[in-house]
Amino acid sequence: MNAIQVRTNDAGVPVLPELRPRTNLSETADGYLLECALPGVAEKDVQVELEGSVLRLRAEAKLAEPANDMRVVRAELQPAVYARTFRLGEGLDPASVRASLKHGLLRIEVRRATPVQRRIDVQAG
Amino acid sequence: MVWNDWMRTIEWNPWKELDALERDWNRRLEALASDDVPPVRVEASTDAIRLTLALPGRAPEDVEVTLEDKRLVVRGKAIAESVDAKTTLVRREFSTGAFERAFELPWRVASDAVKAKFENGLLAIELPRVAEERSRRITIAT
Repeated sequence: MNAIQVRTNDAGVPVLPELRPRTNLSETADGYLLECALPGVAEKDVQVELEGSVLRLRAEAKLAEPANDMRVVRAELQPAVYARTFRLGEGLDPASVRASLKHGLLRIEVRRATPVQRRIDVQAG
Repeated sequence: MVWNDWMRTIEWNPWKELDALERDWNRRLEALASDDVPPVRVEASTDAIRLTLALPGRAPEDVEVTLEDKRLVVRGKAIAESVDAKTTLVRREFSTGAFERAFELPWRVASDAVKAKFENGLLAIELPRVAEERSRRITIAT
């Protein structure tokens, strides 16, 4: 008997729980580094989207199916969908976002926006 | 009338063994569960145990799995931080330091049959029970 509750949607299909991935935030020389713990996530299962200054992350973490005669005795870990939204502060350049995934750790780097200096011609009149 | 009440059917429920295993595991692991220890998923049958540990960001060569009699220990080195003196941690939600987690197994394991696989930050360890102790099917002679 499993003590794990399986949530189902309206159609009765099991739905994965949604979890916020734990994230470490560091300040770097030219911006910020986010490191999100996504154990069990492969590169093809993660989506990182940027809309304006809002960074959205969504990933499906799979676990191996228990073998036929096995049952789960302790579940500190479960298959889940990792989802989190980060708001990039002012002064950061959304176009500089770079993301890479290795060993279940997603690294997202963002650079500070360089102020654009434009020389403005002063017109007579 | 003589009743043969010395002979009773003994009900053997294999799941009872797993129930006891579950209670036992949870009692011991509860004491160890904390934020700095990698979370584990334990699956068991009467002849095998599978442990899955979440080790995001760890390299396989920095993780060590050792089996001493009925005790399995998983150890990991700290994750090497990026070599940049200007990078400072602002907020920590998960540990990147060294860790150690030990598991007391309920029976002896065939150490040469232990398999460990590391994929996407998940370490899966298969522990089959020693052959002599496995549940064996008794053939009925006819």
